[in-house]
Amino acid sequence: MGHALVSARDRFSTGLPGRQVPVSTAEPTEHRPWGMDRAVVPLPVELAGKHEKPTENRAEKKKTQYQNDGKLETDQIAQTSTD
Amino acid sequence: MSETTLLLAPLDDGEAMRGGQVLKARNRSVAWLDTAWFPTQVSVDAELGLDGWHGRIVTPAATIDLASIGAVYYRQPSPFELPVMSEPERRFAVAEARFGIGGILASLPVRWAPASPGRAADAEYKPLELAAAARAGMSVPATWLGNAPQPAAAFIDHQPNGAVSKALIHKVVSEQGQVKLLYTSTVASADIDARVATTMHHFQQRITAARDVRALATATGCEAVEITTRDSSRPLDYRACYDRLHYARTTLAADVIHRLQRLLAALGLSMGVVDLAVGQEGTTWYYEINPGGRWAWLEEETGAPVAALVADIYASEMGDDRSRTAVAPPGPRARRAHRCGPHALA
Repeated sequence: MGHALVSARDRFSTGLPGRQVPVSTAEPTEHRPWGMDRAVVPLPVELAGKHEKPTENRAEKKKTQYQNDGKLETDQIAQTSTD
Repeated sequence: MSETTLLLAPLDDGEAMRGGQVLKARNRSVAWLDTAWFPTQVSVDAELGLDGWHGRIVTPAATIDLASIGAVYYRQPSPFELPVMSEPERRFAVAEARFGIGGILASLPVRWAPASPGRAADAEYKPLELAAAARAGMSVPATWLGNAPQPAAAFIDHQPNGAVSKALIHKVVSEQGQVKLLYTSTVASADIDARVATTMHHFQQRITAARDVRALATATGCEAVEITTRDSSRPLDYRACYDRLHYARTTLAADVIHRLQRLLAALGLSMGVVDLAVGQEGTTWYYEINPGGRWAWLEEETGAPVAALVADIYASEMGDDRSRTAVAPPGPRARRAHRCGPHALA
């Protein structure tokens, strides 16, 4: 997973339109912090004004590249985009 | 040379946009810089002189002379966008960019709003800001931090109106192919189990709020907006129900504003977005301060002149204040500034 593009504060936790939140497929472990289970799927934020707000999230695949023993390889990552 | 206010922010940042518009209307020069533009769209050319750094930052839209920068509005600039690199190469490039560009900007004798990146990042440490708020005289809900399950359960049991769980900073959980958010939620002692021991957890006295208030405070003023729901419900966390919210301008008591300004001074901030709640008994409770918190949508909803209040921070002429705000002392966040995060420079 790439570095997070999430603004983890206040109103737009998944970012303004055009921002991406890389989605991890990691599974919970037996040492999962208690507080993480309080997380819920967010409701969409309606468009509310001129400086534009995210209206919905959509999942999409994006091509990426990485180094494997010095060899450049391609792969796909999943991410959530806000529209 | 005319003085430039640097908007250190993404181009689509509503707060920077509104602040910049007010500054332009006041005939002040404004330039944008988003760290995402470095290095592919931005070049830096700087040399140390006897009085500091001289040189220029060239962006797609402008050449910014470092000597012309009189103020910086720091609005969550995006992470550096690097060309395809290996992970070690990327870590190296990000750290060098962060300390290089961040260091040059932090060294400039300019006014920062809300503060230089290191100082703003320090203020985001919840335990630090809560302690500062308590010392400033704010009414802070009873708060427990720790990873000891039994004391956590005991604290929750001792809250006569119940308790809530909050994240300290990490409010997004991305796993199992899904993105989730952490809102304030009620908690009972029976909910606590051994997994509390895995990291720090944050529990607070539950406040029965008549209304929430988000305020932007500066050393010279305060604009506040009360947030309620259009129905009779009283949500624990208004972020969970934007579709039902109602906004209205309000005023805070003079002593509350005075305490907020003491808090700003203690944290070294020129401004702060503060979340408060007015309890049914009339107490104004302090929840948190966000140095980079959002306010543009509240200005849109209510017409409260928040951008003008932000622009007022730059209104007075540069004088002795410049040297006082030039360099933030290294705090805990600044010292771990090599780590990746949402802030490119923090």
